[in-house]
Amino acid sequence: MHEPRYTPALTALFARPALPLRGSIRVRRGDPARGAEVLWAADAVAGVWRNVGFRAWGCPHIIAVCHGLAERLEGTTVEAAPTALDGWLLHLGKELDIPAEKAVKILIIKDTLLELFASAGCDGPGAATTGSG
Amino acid sequence: MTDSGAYLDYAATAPVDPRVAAAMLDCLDVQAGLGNPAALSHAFGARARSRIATAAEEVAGLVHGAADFVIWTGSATEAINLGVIGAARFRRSRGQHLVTSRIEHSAVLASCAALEREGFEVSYVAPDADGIVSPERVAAALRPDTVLVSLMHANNELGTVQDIAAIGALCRDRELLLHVDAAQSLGKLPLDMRGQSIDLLSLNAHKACGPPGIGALLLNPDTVRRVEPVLFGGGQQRGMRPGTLPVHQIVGFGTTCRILRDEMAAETRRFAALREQLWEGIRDLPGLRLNGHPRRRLCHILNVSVDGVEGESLRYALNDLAVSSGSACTSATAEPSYVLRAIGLSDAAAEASIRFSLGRFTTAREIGFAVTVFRAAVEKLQALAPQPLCAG
Repeated sequence: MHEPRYTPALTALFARPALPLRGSIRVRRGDPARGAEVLWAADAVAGVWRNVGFRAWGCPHIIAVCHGLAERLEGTTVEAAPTALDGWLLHLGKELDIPAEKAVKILIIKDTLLELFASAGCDGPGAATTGSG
Repeated sequence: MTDSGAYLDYAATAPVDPRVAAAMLDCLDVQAGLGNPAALSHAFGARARSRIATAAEEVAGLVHGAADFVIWTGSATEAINLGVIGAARFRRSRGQHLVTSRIEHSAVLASCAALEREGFEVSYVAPDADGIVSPERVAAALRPDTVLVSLMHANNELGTVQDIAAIGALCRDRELLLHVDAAQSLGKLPLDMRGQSIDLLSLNAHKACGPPGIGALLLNPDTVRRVEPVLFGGGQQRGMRPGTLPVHQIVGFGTTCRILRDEMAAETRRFAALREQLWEGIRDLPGLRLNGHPRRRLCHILNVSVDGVEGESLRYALNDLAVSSGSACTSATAEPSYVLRAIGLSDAAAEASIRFSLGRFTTAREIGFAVTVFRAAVEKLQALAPQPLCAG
């Protein structure tokens, strides 16, 4: 067993207040028994993601990743978001020093977002994993 | 309050009282002229023995024990090992069955496991939902070949207090030995080895503002005068626990007990008031649950669970509070507390549990700070959670 590592970036993201849930497209996945539950809400306005918000039950890494992704998704085009997602996750994984054993929980976030993207009519290259959650 | 936040983890260990530290430092001063207490041929040894004898009277006096039957150890864990294993082995010819509970400290459970590997059998009594191990359940677990019952006076996680006098009486009626782990209750509750029919009593100093690194096993000479040693070496302490005695540690323990004798009544009233301040400050939080018995619990411990929040995030959000959690450690692979699971909590609830424990140097300001930090953490995490209750 080891102490979890909490980077300064994680501390900053975790400290952020909950974003308002204003978006009309809502997708929810996971459950506490799996270690994480995430609800995403957003609007696709003129081909751009707006009003991105989330609710999350999970460890500090889950909450920080959701904050980081919400920040990146806001203002991104619906078309570009699916392609960008893996890069965002890779960057956050390094920035937050996410332990390998938490990878499955992070996938719940990714799957939920891919389902959100699909709901907006944009199935990107990563959408094939949507059904894994 | 310190720069690193409020310290509310006295049940783990407590700061050393300056009066205790002064007494210990006096022993370490070369001018004290203290030698090896086992040295019989010079005054230096005699002075050391005298100080140890005084400390034994102070420790035994607090618990109505016998000063001549104090066995000094390095910790309560060692005292428990000696008490459980040593007494069971010493009485092996009478039977090989022990009774304990599922919510004992790991020192007891590990000692029992060691005895099981030697052929002993152990019955583990389940507590009720408040953490009470009833005398009736203990009685039901006894067998003709039972030689020892080992129970904690008060649970270290919940603070729940057991009816040791009743369990002691039923053990005495059957001529069984009762070992009591009082590591957590020393200085918080009156202890009476004779009145509560306790045969072996394990203690430590560091949870009562004494020094770490010193414990004691007290024998009730009316019923047990020897245990089998678990350490081997010189013949100190009648061979039951060999090793050169650390005079300064023992004097620190004695001073700790002398302070408790004089101040325990007032101090425990103050602890109860501070704990009530803490409870009143957080009890209205949605999903908050008190763990342990609502009344039969130690005055300085408050254990709560919070629905709708994840344990690691709760602990992380409470970074400014030194508290204990319901998780064995903070890694992703940590097991939830077996004590909390034994009283019926789910893994998630156990992981989202926090034990506050306060002590001699806790202030009302620290409690106020803890209330503010705890409320903010819970409200933030519940607001973030996707449950219908909290979705915004």
